Amino acid sequence: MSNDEGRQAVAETGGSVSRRAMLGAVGGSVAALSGCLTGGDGADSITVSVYGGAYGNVFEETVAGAYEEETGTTVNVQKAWSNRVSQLQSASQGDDGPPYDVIGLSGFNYLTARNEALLTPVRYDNIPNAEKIWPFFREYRTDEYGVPGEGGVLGIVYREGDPHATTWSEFMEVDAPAGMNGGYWKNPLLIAALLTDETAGVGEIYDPEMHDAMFSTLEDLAENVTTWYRGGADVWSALGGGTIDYGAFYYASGLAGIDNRPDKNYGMVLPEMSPGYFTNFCVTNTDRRDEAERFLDFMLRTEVQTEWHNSGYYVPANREVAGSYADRVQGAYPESNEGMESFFVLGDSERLSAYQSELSDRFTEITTA
Amino acid sequence: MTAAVRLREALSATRERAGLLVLPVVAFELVVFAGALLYLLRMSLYEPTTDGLYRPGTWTLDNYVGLLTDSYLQGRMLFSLQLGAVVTAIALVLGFVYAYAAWRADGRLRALLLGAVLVELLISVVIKVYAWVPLLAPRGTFNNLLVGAGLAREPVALLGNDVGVVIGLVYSMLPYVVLPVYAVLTTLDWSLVEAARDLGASRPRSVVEIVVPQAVPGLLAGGITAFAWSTVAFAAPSILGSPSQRTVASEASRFVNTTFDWPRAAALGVEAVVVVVLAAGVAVALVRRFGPADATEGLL
Amino acid sequence: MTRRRLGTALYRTGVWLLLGFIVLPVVVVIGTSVSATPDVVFPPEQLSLRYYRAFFFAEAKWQTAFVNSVIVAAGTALLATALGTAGAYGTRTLPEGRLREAITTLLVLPLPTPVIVLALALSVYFARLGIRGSYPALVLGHTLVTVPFVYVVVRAVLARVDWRAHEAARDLGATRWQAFREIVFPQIRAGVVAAAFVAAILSLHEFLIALFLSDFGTQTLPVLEWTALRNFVDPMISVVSTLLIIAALALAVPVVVVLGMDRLARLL
Repeated sequence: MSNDEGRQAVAETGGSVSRRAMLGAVGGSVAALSGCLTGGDGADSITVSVYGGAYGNVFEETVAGAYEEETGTTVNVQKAWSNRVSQLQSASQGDDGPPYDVIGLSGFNYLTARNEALLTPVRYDNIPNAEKIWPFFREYRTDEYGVPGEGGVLGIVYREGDPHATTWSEFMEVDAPAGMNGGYWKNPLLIAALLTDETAGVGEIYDPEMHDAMFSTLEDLAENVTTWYRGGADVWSALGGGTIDYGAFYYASGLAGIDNRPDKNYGMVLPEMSPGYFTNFCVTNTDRRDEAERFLDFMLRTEVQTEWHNSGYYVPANREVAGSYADRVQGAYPESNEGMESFFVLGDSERLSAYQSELSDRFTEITTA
Repeated sequence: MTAAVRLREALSATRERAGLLVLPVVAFELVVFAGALLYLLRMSLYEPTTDGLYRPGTWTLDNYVGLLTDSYLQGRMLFSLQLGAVVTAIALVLGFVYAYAAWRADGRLRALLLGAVLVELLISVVIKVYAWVPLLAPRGTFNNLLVGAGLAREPVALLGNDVGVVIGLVYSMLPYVVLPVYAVLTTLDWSLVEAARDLGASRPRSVVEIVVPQAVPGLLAGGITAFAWSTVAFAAPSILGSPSQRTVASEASRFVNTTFDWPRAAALGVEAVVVVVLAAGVAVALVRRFGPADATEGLL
Repeated sequence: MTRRRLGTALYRTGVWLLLGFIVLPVVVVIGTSVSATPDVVFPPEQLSLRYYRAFFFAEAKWQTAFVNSVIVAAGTALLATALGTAGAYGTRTLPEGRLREAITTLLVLPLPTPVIVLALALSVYFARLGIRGSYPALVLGHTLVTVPFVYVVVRAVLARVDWRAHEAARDLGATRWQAFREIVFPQIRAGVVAAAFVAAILSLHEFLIALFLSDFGTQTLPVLEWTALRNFVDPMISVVSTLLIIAALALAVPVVVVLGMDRLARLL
């Protein structure tokens, strides 16, 4: 169940302490007492770094919590958004071990961590469940470092009754205030590339000669965008406060957020081709390699992936979940490898690395105009 | 009393050995800050690379050249300075009025006024800036009031622009102006103001001509702090503004965490420090030149 | 006569408006903490104490972070106040000129440094020294960014001290420490206390340096708060802030009872 429901359950049962909270309290006080040491000792605890917000809370409750219950090993879930690789890199300059044992990364974060030698290759002998991963995920950016765990795509969240876009091209046509993520260039540029006709799909983003055309489309898109939001909180805030009538937002987070706001009449639509991401869960240069790999294998178990999927609607990396998707996304999420390939519109970070600085600069300038 | 006479008195009063008291803090700064600053300086001289964070073992001035010729980034620097200046000016005026009121108030009111400021400080920056969102939103508290009272035909845009960010920053900086000004005012002798009033000065004039000059050290302390912090602010522009309100801090953050171009981030950081210190230095010099006699004694 | 009354009325209204300005977001925060829903709306649509229950019974990590925050804030307040006050006092006794200006500039330099690059640099520096992730690292990092404020505030109040009484005391045989304690300190006390309080508060709410310098066991409240802020505004932030306010008021009540409101105000 989602974190809000979890909290509600706690509140409604008059504050009975959840098992996870107990473990957390014990672990927390021990950790607090040993606050002068960095990390923990032995394999009775590991630290996992994942995205923050509701994603992190769901991960903590379902994946980490279940692992703790089964093995007794404490899983410290560190949740953050943008500083994780910088933190990992700067902390690795000393002699103490890295601050995390496992870290979930995608896109440029993954590429940079890999290039800066912050990751240790995964030994697949220790992760038999990896066989169940969709081949598409394993082949896309190679799986030498880290195992794919989950993924997601962008959808459009809207307020029922008000005009809104149902496809990306309608973003430029519908006459209503819209929101789009202004914090990171990739998704908006992928949308712009999709809408630009210089070449098929998102080819424009890889060809510097077509960048001008792509940015021209982005400028057209930008005319309708009243709010370049920074994150999920902004979207719900803007929708509720009336600043936007609809916005581009992650499908999974959007559905979960709508579930948590039954009093509002929000809806979510999934355009046919949508920018997406998927996360590789990687092992850092830690001593606790065995334990980390054990955790990864656990994370890929079909039951765990199913529970994780049901709690947050993420697209599971394990293909065995395909038969039993949650009702909310049944029919929307692919059930074949070819389906996965066409579902996810990805920007290959490796191919983009030469231009990413320029793309980021130009995107930022357009949003600032 | 001239500066020279006071200085001589100060020296003979304290005996020069008290000067040694600066050693601990200077040592602290040299060890901790200088260490960090040197790392930053060195980082700004590395060549950037698309395969990682920087290219070790290299030396280049390209980052600074690129920075100084980048019209977008220099535009951000200019915006940051303007934001800092506007916020500081407003905060100084409002802060002085508030501190003055607290100083002149009787027991209960004084405790209330100071207590409110202290309570504001107790709240995390993040949430107290975020609290302005429901207040300033198009369907938020202020707009509902304005439209409901007929003062506006449709909601006024108070978020996602300069207005919201300035409100949020002034709010955040106000306690840091009020506290030093108040502290300085408590050392003041009210009888001087009474004397001026007995001699016929109007009430506002007596305050402006007697109290304000005496309060300048506190205003400087609060002003320097407010200017430095709001120029490189991150939270309020991020939460209350649109991308048009991005400051150098937002850009530096982008270079560190999004484009992974650490040399560029470091160069921008160094530029921010230099520019703000220069700007503050100019302001202080102006105060020294045109302000009351010993105005900057509390700083330089 | 009327113009004066108008002026007074304007002044009074202005002050009350300012008070309202300061207090309004506080009310919003407290309102959010008792809201039944996670969104930050004001006024809250439904009321509930579920998040307070969550803090005290279920959210151990918030409790640990709270303790860490208090430890680091106390350490920072002590160190920053000691260094800043001593530094301000010592700098004042130096002759006016280049050295004095240089020291002041050095001490003020951390203020305009964008915190992201400062946090990054400190992280690498402390990692190389092997202290990253520890309480001392956090205290040093926070002291770095709070000492400037202590310094400028104490310099400001020192500028207003009447040194003649101090000189007289010294001539009459008082030691430096006695003269400082009896003559100078009472005059600067308001400033020092205010600066110490602010240093503690700044540390309590500082996010970036804490993020880069802390480990899972030493992470402070803001580290949890900021990560909670991206996807939905975790009401736990409001709960923690409100609890802090309640704690401060709770501490203040016995003081007010013992001293009485007027004496307290005179002390402030």
